Amino acid sequence: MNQGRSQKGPVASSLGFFFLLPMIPVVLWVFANHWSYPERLPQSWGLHGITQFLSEGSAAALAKSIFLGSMVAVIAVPLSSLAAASLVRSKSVLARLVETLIFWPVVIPPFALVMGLSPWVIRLGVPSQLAVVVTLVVLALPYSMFIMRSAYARYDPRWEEEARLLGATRFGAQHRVRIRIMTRPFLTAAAIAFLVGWTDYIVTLVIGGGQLITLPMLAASESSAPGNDSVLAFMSLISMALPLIGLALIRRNEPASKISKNGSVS
Amino acid sequence: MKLRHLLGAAPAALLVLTVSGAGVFWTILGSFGLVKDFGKAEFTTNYYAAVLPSALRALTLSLILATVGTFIAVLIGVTAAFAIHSKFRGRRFLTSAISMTIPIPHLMAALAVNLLLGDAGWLARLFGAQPGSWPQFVAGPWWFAVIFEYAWKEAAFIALVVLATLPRNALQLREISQTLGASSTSRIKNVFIPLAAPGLIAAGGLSFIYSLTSYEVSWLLGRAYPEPLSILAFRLFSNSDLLVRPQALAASVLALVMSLFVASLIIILMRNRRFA
Repeated sequence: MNQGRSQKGPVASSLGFFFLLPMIPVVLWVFANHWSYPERLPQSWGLHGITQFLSEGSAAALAKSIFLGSMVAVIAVPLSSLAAASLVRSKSVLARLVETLIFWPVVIPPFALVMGLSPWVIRLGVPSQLAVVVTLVVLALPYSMFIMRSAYARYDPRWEEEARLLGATRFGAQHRVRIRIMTRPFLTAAAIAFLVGWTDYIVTLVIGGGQLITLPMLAASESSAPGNDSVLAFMSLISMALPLIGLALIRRNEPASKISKNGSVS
Repeated sequence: MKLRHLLGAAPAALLVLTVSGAGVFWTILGSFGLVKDFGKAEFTTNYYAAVLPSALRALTLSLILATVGTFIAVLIGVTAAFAIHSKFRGRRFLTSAISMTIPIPHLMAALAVNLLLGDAGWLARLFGAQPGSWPQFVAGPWWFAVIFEYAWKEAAFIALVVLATLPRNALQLREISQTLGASSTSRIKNVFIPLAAPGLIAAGGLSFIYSLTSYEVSWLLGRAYPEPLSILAFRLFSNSDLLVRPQALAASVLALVMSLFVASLIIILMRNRRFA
């Protein structure tokens, strides 16, 4: 394998380039104050896109997107963790059925779900923002459940017993062993659930009924008007960068990145 | 005892049952004219009869877009996972490029693809295309930009899932096969692909279902006619004529049936692999 490596360099780099390619014009547009058609690069550079974004009150949409993603994660992760912990060791038919039920939203076309739900939301008088969060939690559960289930499947309760044998208290064993080993899958599940809220458009549109203006909602309405390329590009850029920055910050403060290599999805 | 054991799963299960049950049940009932919110309550299959010709055409288009998009995404995703797993040079760059692609909402990704491939997009500028001479990638007859968007976003997802689900001894197995003299093609075909298969089938299946029912990408990058199933359903749903809305529900039920069918195929595929 070693001799081949240097020749195979272009494979990885060109694939990396493919993944980044659509973001190149985005970055250029963010810093373009003026960029008319045939020019390959902006004629004048600047921060008009960003100042326009801030002056339009788009920061509120950004805050709502962050809030929506966080709420989905905060609800979906404990629910799926509880469910995974109690289902993973059970071999009963009922357990398999319950598990299938939790996974099933993955196959529901979102528009088929929201069309039937919207009259319920109106009839029961559920606040639309709450209804959006709850619907997205249901759509996020299969993913966070998948992560938590494979983490619990790999988790061996004997590790805690070993810690007890070595003299740890019950609390100490739980704290030093279980919580540390499960930190990584917990964060992964939270990140995925966050992204379900962060990236959603159709649920927010139909169930939210225009009450909850998140970043994708704002981008959708601005995309129909001409001349918004700079501000739209900036929205695309933060929609990519913000979750990554958040994840990097969390990972950096994560206590147990070394231990978790032994017992969890990476 | 057994039931008490399952208690922890109850909150999640009940939430899914209530929300998805209410939504899907109402969509199905409404498609047969049984829900007052969507017109008058009276059993009929007329809504299906009315929408079926256009819905089948729309479903065909959705299936083609999802198949081509997922096929390309699988090829790129597996190659990327292989390159990273094999520690090819440039893998760090590739890994970060993939993790940057994951969090972008599809709607924003579609806007980015438009800035790249559109009439006044960056590529048209780079190639110095005369106005009107640039191929219609966006909103053109070949749905190129839509397929490109699916291939791009889903390839990143597939690569990530494949890497996360490879067994922990995958690298050793690959090295052993090399020591035993397997050619590089054989190492990919007979060692890497089977090891990656469970993650690949699951991720590929999820990508397929996503692109089959996705709305915003075709809405931003597709053309007005012919329309994919999601766009058709949504257009009918937004119609102010209440007698048209149940047709939207009927089209949605068709999408649901299709996506259940695909999901069962995936489950069968995964079962067969496990017991092979």
